[in-house]
Amino acid sequence: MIGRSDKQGRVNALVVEDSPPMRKMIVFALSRIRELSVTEADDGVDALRRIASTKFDIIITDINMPILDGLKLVKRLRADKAYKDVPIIIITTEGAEEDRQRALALGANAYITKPIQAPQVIKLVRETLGLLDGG
Amino acid sequence: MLAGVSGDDKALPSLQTQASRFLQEFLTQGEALVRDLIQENERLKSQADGESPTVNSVDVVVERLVQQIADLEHECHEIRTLAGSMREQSGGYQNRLDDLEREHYHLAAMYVAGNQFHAAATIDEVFRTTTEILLNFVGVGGFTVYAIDEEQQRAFPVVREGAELAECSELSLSDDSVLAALASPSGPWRNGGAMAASGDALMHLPLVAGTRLVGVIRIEKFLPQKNEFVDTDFSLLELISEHAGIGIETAWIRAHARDVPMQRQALESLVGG
Ligand SMILES: [Mg+2]
Repeated sequence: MIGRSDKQGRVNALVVEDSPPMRKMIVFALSRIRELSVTEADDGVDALRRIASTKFDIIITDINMPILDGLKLVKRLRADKAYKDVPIIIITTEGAEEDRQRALALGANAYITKPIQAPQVIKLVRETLGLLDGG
Repeated sequence: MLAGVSGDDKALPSLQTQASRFLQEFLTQGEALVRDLIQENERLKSQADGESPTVNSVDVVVERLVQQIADLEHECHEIRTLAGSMREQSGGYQNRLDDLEREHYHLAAMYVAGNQFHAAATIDEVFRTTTEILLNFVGVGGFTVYAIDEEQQRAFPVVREGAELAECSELSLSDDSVLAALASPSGPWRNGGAMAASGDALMHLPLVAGTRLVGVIRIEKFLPQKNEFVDTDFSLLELISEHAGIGIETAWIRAHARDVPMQRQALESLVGG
């Protein structure tokens, strides 16, 4: 499985989403995975700020965000040696096929479609991190 | 037994006699040996032809192996049945767990949505929250939010998702048949209440503060991956109808209120009723 960053052996996850209720729901869904330690970022700029001080093992990001959107964030992360191989999951709306394809082409690993459902999010993150079920 | 050799040469018979006796004895014993061999051969032949104990023991071994195979197949069948039912049971548990996760997630969505409305201090924040809940939690991709001009008795569009706001015109609360039916609500919309669908709308959701209609959301289309409302959507729509309504009224009052410091005497009179 992916390397565990913090002292308790938990996996550091960063959730980047500008919509507060949506962000809360993603964090809520991820709280069901006890191996995860989740940090929230309001947008792409906030994400870069947090990345500068903490090494994350997985990044889950929205696409449509002000100032620095999800596509630019994926591009910046993949250009960073420390984040070259860190899994990135993007959150998109079903209609935004073009954005989704661009994000995958830029190096995102997988995507979740809104409205999100907790079991799908949990399953995808577990699979991406190589975590066993039920942890 | 062949004749022994004695040490007394004078007592010895002639060499010819000795040879003749030796040959006779040799032939007699040889004859007996051949007779024994023929007898043994006959016995074995009769065994092979008759009772055939060798074939019999092969049969027994084969029979035993067939029985063992049957036993193993039976055991294998039982294990397969057991494994199948365990798989079924664990599949059932997994489905139940997924259901619980969905239910849990829905309750959390209700909690988060309620909190967002309570935290919204301005009408703009109420509309933004409404948009985020409809889009991200319910999965509605096209809708128009109308605010109400109570003096003019008209509904005018303020927010639109999935199409241009400018393409939307204002509506009269008395002339528009759908809005006329919503104009005097007895309370917020409840699951099972009228959907007030029309040619271009799946539903008209009234935003209500008490019995005051303060807005209407025309729900036009779902996101592409969704094609109908499910039970959990209806409770979110109930929540929007009530909490967005209260939020709009509260924000309206706040926008027109004069900021006065809290005073004990005034508070006590309010608490005393
Ligand atoms: Mg966004």
